[in-house]
Amino acid sequence: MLEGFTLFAKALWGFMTPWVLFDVLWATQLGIIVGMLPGLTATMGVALMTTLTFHMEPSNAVLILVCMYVGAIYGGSRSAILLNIPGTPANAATAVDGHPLARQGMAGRAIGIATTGSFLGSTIGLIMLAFFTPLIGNFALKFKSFEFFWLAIFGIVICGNLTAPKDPLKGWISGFLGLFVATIGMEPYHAYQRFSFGYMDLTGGIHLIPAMVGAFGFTEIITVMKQTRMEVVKGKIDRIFPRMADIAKYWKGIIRSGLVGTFIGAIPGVGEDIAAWTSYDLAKTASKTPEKFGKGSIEGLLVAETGNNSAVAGAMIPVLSLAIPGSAPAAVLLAAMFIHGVRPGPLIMIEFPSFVYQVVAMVLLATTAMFVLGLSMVRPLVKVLAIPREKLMPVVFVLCVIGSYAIQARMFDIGVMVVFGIIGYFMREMDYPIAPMVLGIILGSILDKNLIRSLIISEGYPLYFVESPISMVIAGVTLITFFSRTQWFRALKSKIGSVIRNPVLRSNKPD
Amino acid sequence: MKPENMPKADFVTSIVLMVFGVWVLLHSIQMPRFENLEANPFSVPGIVPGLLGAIIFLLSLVVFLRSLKQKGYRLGISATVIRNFTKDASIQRMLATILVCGVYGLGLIGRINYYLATFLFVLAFLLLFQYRPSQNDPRPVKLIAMSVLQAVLTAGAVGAVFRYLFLVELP
Repeated sequence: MLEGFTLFAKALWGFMTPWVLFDVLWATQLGIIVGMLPGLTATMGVALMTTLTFHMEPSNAVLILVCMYVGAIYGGSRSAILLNIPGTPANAATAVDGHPLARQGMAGRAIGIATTGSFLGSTIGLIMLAFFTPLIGNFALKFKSFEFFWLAIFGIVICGNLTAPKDPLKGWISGFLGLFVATIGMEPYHAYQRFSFGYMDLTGGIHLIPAMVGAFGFTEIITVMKQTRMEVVKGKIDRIFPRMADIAKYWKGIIRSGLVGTFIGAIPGVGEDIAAWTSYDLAKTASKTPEKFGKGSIEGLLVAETGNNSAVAGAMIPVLSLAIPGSAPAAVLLAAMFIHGVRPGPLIMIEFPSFVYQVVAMVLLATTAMFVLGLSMVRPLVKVLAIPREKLMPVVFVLCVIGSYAIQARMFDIGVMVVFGIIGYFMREMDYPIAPMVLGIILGSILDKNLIRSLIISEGYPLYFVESPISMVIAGVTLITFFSRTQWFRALKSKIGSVIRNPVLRSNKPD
Repeated sequence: MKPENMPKADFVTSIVLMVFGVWVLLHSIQMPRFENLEANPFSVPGIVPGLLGAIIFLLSLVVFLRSLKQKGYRLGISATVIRNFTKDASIQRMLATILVCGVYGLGLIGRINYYLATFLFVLAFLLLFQYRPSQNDPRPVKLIAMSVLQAVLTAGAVGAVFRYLFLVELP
């Protein structure tokens, strides 16, 4: 613990140079702008920034990406409050109470509350990040191929389940499609080219960044441009600085949302939007005034923003400890770390122990910058929201094109970006979530290598796959998650429930 | 998409996905097994994609059966429906976005000079979505001039930043 604190203090001190602090400020501010503009998501911002920071020192590059990530997730609350359009999917729950407050003439107050909620959420998240990453990292050292195989399947099943709550089947299909995409190209055991059909560019496989820029960026451009009309900002901004009473009154909700948000953020591929909705739902259930939710509740706004920003730090826990992203922007962050020569995963506490605490220090700096910038530059930044989408979207697409191309200088990657953008758009229209597909692309190589290793070790004997207690637990949770959504499981559950509740049925039980 | 149309969409997409799953499975079965190299039978290249193809097929089959139950096979495609679909303003905007972005990303980039391609794309995008000659736009000259200016600035700024600041060889 003390060693961890020393490493954290050293890392923080190392960042205390004017240039680094300048980087923190501009990257967080840019993140806020990216987040607040509908059509620019945190994922896209981090992906584009990865190409811009390609030639930088690794720690500086990752710091800028973390600032962009934290800033963008917070920045989305602005358009959610002022326009009722979440700047990023993570801020959908923010709009539910944030926009009614703005319509009641309390836009400034709502922005202040959202800023404070985001700051507190991030703070809780970073404490959890510092505490749990080394623990999970050390625990993951016990993982063998069976455990990693189950972890990949678990990621897809839980991500599909949570990102498509109404129809998890579509979430799972999306995830397995992503796993398939990852098998394209040269396989690791015999160097055989799968599904490349003699096309040279496909032998290297589909790369994550162009696929993600397309699936999140281009898809968003098509979705935004499709709408026949867009809202514009109306009304003035009142007092922004939050009242202490507003915050102190809901301290329980803040802590609960911070913890829940971090936990959900840490679940592979699930992300900040689900964290915000879960925090919001739990707060509504526990609230003394649930009737105010949806009509401009300070509590609702506060917990939604606490939940989504705590998930940012939460999503980094599996990135660092297992090399599995907790959310889509965290997936880009993971790819960027690999590009810069840092290898996150179970060995991180052995190979790069100081890096974990550097990331904690980065989140702290980004959170502080977000809080200061969030409260101080509201009025001038609101003008950015007045830029018409017709003028903004071509510039965004130009950035998507050059961003996809820049990392490997391959024309093929621009094609991948365009194709994934179109696929992503139609998937979204048909209610297939995109996040599981992207997670599948990331987890594909983990699944491929570890399934084959497991099959070779076990010689195809299935019980070997659940021999260790860790495998058994992950497999059990995965299967329960999967079967809990089937009709016969729900029927069985209600039958068991009725037997327990009904004393007549219980007394008729045979002895 | 309207919720009432979802069973129809599910019916079509599930068929596409089932065919895709079977194609992946068959393609995986046909992959070499390297028996002449005495390779471990569990390390053959087709094993993982084959399993994934089978899973995609099975999950899509469930979606297909569910759509049948919801009468998704009644597609109700007629000339009027197609005409209304193509006349829908949002569909036209979606297709125009895909077309103009697709032409730039897949057609112009790499074939002509990057700055020129980007200039043409931005200009075409701005005019396509802003210029309405039929509505007697009172300021067409100003609109065109501003669009040209934005296109020049975007192409110049993005190209220069990536070429000279980030040292990327432009496509």
